[in-house]
Amino acid sequence: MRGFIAAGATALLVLAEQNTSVPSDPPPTIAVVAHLEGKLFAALGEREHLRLRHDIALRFTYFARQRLPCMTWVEVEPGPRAVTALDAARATLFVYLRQLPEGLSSSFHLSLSATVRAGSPVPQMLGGWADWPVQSYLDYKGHLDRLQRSVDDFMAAHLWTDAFEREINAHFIRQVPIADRIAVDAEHRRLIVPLDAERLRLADGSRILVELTAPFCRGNLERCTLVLVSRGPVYGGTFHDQLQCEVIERRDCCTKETWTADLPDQIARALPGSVHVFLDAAHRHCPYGIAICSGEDGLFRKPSAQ
Amino acid sequence: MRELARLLLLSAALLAACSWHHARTSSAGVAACDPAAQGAFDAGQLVRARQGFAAGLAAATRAWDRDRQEVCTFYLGLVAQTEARQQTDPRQRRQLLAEAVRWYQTARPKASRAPGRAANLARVYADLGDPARADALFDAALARARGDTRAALARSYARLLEPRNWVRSVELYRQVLARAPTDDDSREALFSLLVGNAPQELPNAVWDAVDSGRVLQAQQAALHGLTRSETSGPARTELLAGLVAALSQQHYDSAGFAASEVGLALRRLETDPQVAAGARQVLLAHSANKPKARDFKWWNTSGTPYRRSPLFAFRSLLRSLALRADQGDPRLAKQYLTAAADLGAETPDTQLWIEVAGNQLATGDFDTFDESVERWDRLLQRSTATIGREDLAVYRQTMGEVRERVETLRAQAASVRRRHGLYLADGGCIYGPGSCSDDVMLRIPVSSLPIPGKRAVSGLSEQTLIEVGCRGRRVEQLLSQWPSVPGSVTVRLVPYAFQISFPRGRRPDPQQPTQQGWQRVALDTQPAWLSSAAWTRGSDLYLADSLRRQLLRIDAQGNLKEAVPALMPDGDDGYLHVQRSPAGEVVAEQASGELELGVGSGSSGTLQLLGRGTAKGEVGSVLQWTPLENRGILAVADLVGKDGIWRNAIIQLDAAGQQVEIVHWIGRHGRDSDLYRVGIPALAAIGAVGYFLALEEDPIGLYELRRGGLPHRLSTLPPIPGGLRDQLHRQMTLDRTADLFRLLAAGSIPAGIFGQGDALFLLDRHAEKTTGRISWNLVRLDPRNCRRFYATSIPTTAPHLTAAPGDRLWAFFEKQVVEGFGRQAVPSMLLVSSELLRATSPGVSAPMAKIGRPFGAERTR
Repeated sequence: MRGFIAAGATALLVLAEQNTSVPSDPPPTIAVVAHLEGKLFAALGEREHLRLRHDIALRFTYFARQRLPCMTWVEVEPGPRAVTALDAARATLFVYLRQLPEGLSSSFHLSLSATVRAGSPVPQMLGGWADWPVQSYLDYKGHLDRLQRSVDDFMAAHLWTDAFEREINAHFIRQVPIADRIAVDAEHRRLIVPLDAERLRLADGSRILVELTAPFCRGNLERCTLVLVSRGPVYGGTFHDQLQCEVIERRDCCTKETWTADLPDQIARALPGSVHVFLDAAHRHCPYGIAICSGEDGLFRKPSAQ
Repeated sequence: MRELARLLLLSAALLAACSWHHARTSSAGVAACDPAAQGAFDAGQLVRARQGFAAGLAAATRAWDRDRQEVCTFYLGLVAQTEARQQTDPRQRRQLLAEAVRWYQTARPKASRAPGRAANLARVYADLGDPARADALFDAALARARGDTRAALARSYARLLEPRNWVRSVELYRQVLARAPTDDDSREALFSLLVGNAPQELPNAVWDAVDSGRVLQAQQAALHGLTRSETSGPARTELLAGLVAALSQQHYDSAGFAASEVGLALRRLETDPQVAAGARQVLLAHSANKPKARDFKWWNTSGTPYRRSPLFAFRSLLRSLALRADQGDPRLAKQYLTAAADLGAETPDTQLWIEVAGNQLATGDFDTFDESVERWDRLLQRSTATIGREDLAVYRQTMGEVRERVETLRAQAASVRRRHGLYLADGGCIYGPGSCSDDVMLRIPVSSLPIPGKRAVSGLSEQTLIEVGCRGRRVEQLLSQWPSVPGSVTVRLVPYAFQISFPRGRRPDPQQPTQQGWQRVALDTQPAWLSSAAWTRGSDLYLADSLRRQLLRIDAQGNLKEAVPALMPDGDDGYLHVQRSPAGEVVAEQASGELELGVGSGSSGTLQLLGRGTAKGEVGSVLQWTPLENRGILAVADLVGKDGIWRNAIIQLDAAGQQVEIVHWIGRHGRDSDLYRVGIPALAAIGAVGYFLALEEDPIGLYELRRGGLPHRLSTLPPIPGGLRDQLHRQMTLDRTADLFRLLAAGSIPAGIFGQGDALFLLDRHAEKTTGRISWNLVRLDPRNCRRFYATSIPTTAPHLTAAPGDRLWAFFEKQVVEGFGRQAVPSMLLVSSELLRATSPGVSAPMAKIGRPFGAERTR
């Protein structure tokens, strides 16, 4: 019997050995905080005020999860826990709902601004970049549900347009690192973004930028951008389910060569903390799950689930 | 028994491990064939991939693992299909395709709902010249599939059909988009098919895109359709309507519309026989100051459904322009809304009417409101158009509320006697009955500003028109050689009789609301030319009006408390600049070049800046200065050499003013000193340590200056856009002041450095290239190495700011566009706690970026 148990234990170890895949990193967390400005909101009771803020953040997060799946979107409820949530987030997106003007009749304007925590190569603060008229204001005081419905309707019908997505991708998503490391599959000449590819849902050919400081030429440290295109998830092996990418360009580098034999070593010797992976503003998502998303050539690369 | 339990436990563990193993090596429920082969395939190493998948198939067959067998055969089919696509030899290509068919068929595509197997095999059939078989396979697979899987299959099928059956392809793409409206690739393909084959169907697809929020795609498709001669008849009108509907959903700068891609495309359409007038009217709507319905008659075409008609599209555009024009003044929006309501006045649009009624309420146009509601109700009764029950209910409820408000306001108005402001020459404004409103301004020619005592040799007065009214007074026009107006000598005395006095409680509305942590305060004084501001030890601010040469003391609510001197000064008296020293005292620069220390505190002293000798010449004038600890001064000075040449340098003076030391050379008087002259604060202090921006350098360097040491370059700012310095230099004359400041506002130039406590700040203005929209950031720097700690967005889009750092609060004065020398409104200031800017408050919730790297790599000396 002891021999049988020992054999079983060995089998377990063998299985474990075969599955030394590296776990994926979580995508960056974006905290969504709503702010209300204007006399109308000031007139609300504290509870109503908080509820409305929470609902707006929640609604925004709902759309963001669908349209911008490359980040983990969390709504931050105003209160004592907010500080912890904000500290844990890689970036914070502020959704401002403003009443303008504060007169007899006014409109609501929705605008966004954002902050990116340390590590971002973007030296300057992102400002508010969009004002969106919501609906003429008449009398919402005492009719919170009506106000909430009005904001909901606006977000559903008018906010999440492709024009808005273009803005938010260029001004915000592009600035937030989705990962702070990059792995190398030297055998297949691929760089591996250590995130769950299924979750990122990137369409084949989407561009990814890796900014890093590494000794690319003559051993001198140099800040450089590697331009990658996504080639879908890795199936099996060390990088199972992570996103594999092909190097198509080196930008601002001492060499223009895409893949060189010493690239893995150079990446391994990158200055600690200098590696940041970004989604290009023009990236695209597969409209369906990655498993049933055809590639650029129209072929399905996976038989898919039954 | 114990052994049995152990056995069971071990079995369970083994099962769990196997299950885990399976899960790790498969994805979305699909077993993996061979990870190494998969990697090789993904890397394009097809030979290795084929070998690996074949080995995997053999292993799966040996293990009777049917799922894995199917996956391996799929991949072997995919390898063969991929090889066939790369093969140029037709015979070998055919062989590979035939091999792919064999592998795919082994993978039992008919029994599977997986889109990959059916779709890939169908493509092989198509490549083999058997489209009927491909169609049959796709149709069968589509019939079985549901949800996203069906959409993915339909998308693939539609793409395959594009060249040979566009009708079916279009139908499939429509099905795909009904399921996934954000599938932009499919929508693109649909538009392309319709443009080429059925342009008359394009408008509906454009409207579908607008309704799905794909407004940029809709816009592009509409423009594309309009450029094609095949698109004719009503389709062109409908496409233009779709384009306008897409525009109405976007947020853009109307002022720059004519130069935008769409604006230019519309301009090209102005010669189009069918839509020329429509295109012209869209351009007019963006540029008109007073739009009228009669200007947009082309768009008065309703249709069924109304919500896809040109009238609805154009009304939506006017509504969106109204909302953008409003910006706090509903009178600006009124023109657009009225034009929208009057255009096709007989066609109901309840949402538009709600907005018109809201506007009438806001502008106090109650009588028109009564008439409008009466007319709209009549129209609704006799309208044949279908209006949704919900829309109607919202309309009724809203109109009831507006009516209630109107009645309340009417009652209030009847009980309050209207008050008017009246300006009196001896002391400002009073309120009382009369025909004068506070918009009335008196224009008075005043001699010789900014130096009233000086007369031109030619006998012509240097005169200035000053507007005086209840909202303050401002320099209207500076005329350097303006013939004396008869009686001007008498008039010249008028300013001396004016004590600055401003009305209370009637302030200009702040232009924008503020965000949390920030407070926007309207100013009831209007300095003619605000050069600088400084906090007192209390909570008041001194504003230096360098044109009137007065210090205006205001409180944190924006109320004027006093003017120093009370009357506009004569001769070389009065003040030009004001600063706060590190010790907290207010220091003001007099027009004579003397610094007055401790303004308002009673413990004053003076320090003369001008006339001091240095090794390279005498200090002729001072452009900027900042107090250091112990009353030392760092200044940007004009030095007049013995050779008569003016040079610029940064100098340091000790407390007694005995020692004057040149610490940094700028260069000859001229282009190099321009940026110092235009008022960018280039000097700051933290205690006894000075900091300065070398604005003449390109890129600009940020230097530290410790007592007794040499300046030390800490960092380098991003370079100034090429050619901007030359452009600025060309505008450095009084008559081009407006152009000069317009350039500065658009130039994304650093807007100054500031010291507060032990923190150093960089004020950064950024002008967006396309829209010209200005954003401001205050970046806190590490004074030791200029690494950026935090950046805080300043919630303003004002083109110019004057910052006043304080221990408790910072003030940012929002200065509007410079319309000419001495013509710049300062309607408001923003107040924010210093803690927020220093990011020392843990609960701070204002937008803030923590940025952990230096912005310049250079570090010298």
